[in-house]
Amino acid sequence: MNSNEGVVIVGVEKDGDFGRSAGLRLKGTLGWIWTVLGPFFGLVLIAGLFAWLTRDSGSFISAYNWRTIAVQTVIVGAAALGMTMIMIAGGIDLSVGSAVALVTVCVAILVRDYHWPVAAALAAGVVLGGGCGVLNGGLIAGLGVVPFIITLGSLKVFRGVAKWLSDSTPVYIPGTAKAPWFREVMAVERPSPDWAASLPGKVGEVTRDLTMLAPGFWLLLGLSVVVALMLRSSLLGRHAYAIGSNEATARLCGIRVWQVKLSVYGLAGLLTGLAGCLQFLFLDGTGDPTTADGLELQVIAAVVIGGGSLSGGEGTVLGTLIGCLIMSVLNNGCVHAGIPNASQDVIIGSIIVAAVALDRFRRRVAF
Amino acid sequence: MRDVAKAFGASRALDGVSLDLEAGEVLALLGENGAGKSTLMKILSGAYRPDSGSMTLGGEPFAPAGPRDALSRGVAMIYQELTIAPHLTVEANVMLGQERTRAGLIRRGEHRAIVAEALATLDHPEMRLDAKAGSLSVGARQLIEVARALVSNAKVIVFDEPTSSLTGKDAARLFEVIDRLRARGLAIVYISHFLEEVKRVAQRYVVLRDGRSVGSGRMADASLSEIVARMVGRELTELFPKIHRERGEPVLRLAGLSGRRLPKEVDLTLHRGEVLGIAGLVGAGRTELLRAIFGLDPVKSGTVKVADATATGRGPRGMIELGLGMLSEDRKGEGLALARSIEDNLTYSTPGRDAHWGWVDRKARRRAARRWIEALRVKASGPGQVVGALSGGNQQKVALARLLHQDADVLLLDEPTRGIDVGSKAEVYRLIGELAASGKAVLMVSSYLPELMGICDRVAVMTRGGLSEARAVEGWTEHAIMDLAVGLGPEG
Repeated sequence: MNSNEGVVIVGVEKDGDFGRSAGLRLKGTLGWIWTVLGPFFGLVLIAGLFAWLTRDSGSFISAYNWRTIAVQTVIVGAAALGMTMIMIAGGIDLSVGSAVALVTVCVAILVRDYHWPVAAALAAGVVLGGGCGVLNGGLIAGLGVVPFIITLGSLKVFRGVAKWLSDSTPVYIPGTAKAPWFREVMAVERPSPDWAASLPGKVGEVTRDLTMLAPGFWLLLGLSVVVALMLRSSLLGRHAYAIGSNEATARLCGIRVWQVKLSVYGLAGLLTGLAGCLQFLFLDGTGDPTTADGLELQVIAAVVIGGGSLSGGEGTVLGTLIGCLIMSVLNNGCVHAGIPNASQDVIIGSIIVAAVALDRFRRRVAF
Repeated sequence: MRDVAKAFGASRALDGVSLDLEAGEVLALLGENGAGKSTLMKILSGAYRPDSGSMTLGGEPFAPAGPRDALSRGVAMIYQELTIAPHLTVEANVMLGQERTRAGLIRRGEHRAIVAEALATLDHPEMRLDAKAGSLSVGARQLIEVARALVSNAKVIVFDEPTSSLTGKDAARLFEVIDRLRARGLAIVYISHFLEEVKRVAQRYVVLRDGRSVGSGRMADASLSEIVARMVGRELTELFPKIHRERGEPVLRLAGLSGRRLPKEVDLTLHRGEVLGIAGLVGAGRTELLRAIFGLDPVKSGTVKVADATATGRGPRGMIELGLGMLSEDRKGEGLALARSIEDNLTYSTPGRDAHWGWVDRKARRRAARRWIEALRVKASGPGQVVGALSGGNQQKVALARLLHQDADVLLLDEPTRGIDVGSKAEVYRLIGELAASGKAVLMVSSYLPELMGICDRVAVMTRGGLSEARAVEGWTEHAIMDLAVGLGPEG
């Protein structure tokens, strides 16, 4: 209790407008730098740590290993782009891993039993992923049940259908069906083109290393640009942010919430379908009903490390990509550093929690 | 309580209020919305700490550190929003937070005895101890709260608007319970807008206005109209610029509009070039009326006509296309996406404009946002600033600017000046006047009578879901509006 009885406290005048807005602007800029660069610093820090741990062999920082990391990032990355959109709109998708397995199985069956050309089967795989997303989105918007439960259900259902279609055994496609480009899409080592071979010096070296990157990685980068643009300057992207930030506001403003949700889950499903196709290629043309188990958790972790929020309204493509790279570097680095499997799990789990806790702390300070 | 004061930022919610409460009496705490009743009671129950002043309880200084501390000293609060865990049983709810245990295990037998005794004291021994609280009526749930207070040995119980969600029969039972509590020597503070029921349960009253105590006395000696006069007695200030305008053709017509619960059978015609105010108490159904018109809540029966087209049940998107715009009373929960930029918030209701083939024309949007920021003098660093970082008044201007950007013909404004400072209020009033003068129609809900009297052309009063006839503002006095709102009927 205050002792100055009877004294009335009068409100303090606010700061001048100029000082206020300038201060806010500075704070905003710093906040932006922190959001984008925070995960990036984390990536550099972790990469540096592993480089130091493996300094004797040097195997971790070799160009070859980084190409391996890039390939390992592609599948998680494609699914994470979709998950970023979903989480921005305030949702979540636990069925990603199962959908990927279902897609690999269906693509393999189309090629093996129905003799489709691989390219057509892959296209069908992407569409199937989109269908899975539309199903999730439709149930979420239509039944009004929270996304966590709906996709927990479809996690089991998709996995079950994949096992059912494949009789619970991997489906192999015949070697004759594999086109020349088949292995290259997800290859770690591929020949550098002639024009790059003739380039001199350091520039030539870097160019050769880059051109040896798997095409799947360039595909991921291209899609990232498209998704980033979509989130930034399409109405769908803006409305996804609006719904994740405050669904009541979106409704008040006449935004058709269910349409936006359906579109977001559908588009994200296409990306999951693509991840499934890439997984199919990565497995050298195998439809494996048990593959990608727990992929959804890696994907969610990547999005969250990159600044996404489970409560919606936040997340960026750049952050998600960095989050994916952090996950890949952790997995790959632990192997190179000779850390036992059990310890790897503990380390990766701890780093996920630490990264996100740091991010939330940063937010509290910023506001 | 002696000279208690409390300020929130620049606004002073309480300005030196004193209150005496004796054992074995019911004290009615009266006042308009925002007069400071809730703040005062939150200080008493430990939810807020006063900036100055002192309290004594039973002769000893009383300075609760928090609601728990206040409860243990014997001050219990029964809030408007019931604090019941619906999945727990009656017994578990009553004993929540004051469980008797032995070696970490709950002593159920003792619990049952205690709860049964409390319910007997309240003259409701028929309540089943094992019933799930969620399956009970609102009135029965309230009894659980009262029983909880009894079990904690409360000496003072505060009822905050206890009958606002009760049926007439449940309310009558509650009054009997309160009589019994008083007879047992408890001191009771009773907050209500409904004067008839105050007359029924209370012996003394205190009237608050603008954070000050403006009158008190024995209930038996006071006439209700005298109390109402004390509640409203205020002067109109120069806040309200009158801009000349002409009433045009009707643009919004409601016939027998009813929602699922509220509103009930509302008829209304709104013309171009006029500001029509809806007065009434919180909970009377004013917000529900606007939501039903705008298609946010389902319409049970009746029609909404915009211009001459029937528009019932078209949903917000359809209403926006017909030229309606709505400002939510709940700026944080519904009105704005606080984490998004000013530019985003301004353009949410007009997705088609400033966009081509689904892709946003960022330059055009930015230009539009800049224009409104300038026109409404929003204090912000730029169109990209996050809305949550603005002050309340500036947030409200952004929410209003959305309706202006949308170029809405009919504006439904729910508490347009809630929680903003006086300077911003004057600007909002001027803006509303200018909109009406330019031929738009404004339907405005407000709990602040002076502003309704100051800027509206016509005013209607809402009571328990029904809307009175809209009369020219010159035909009303604040007194008459208040009489109607508290259910006294037009004669007072």
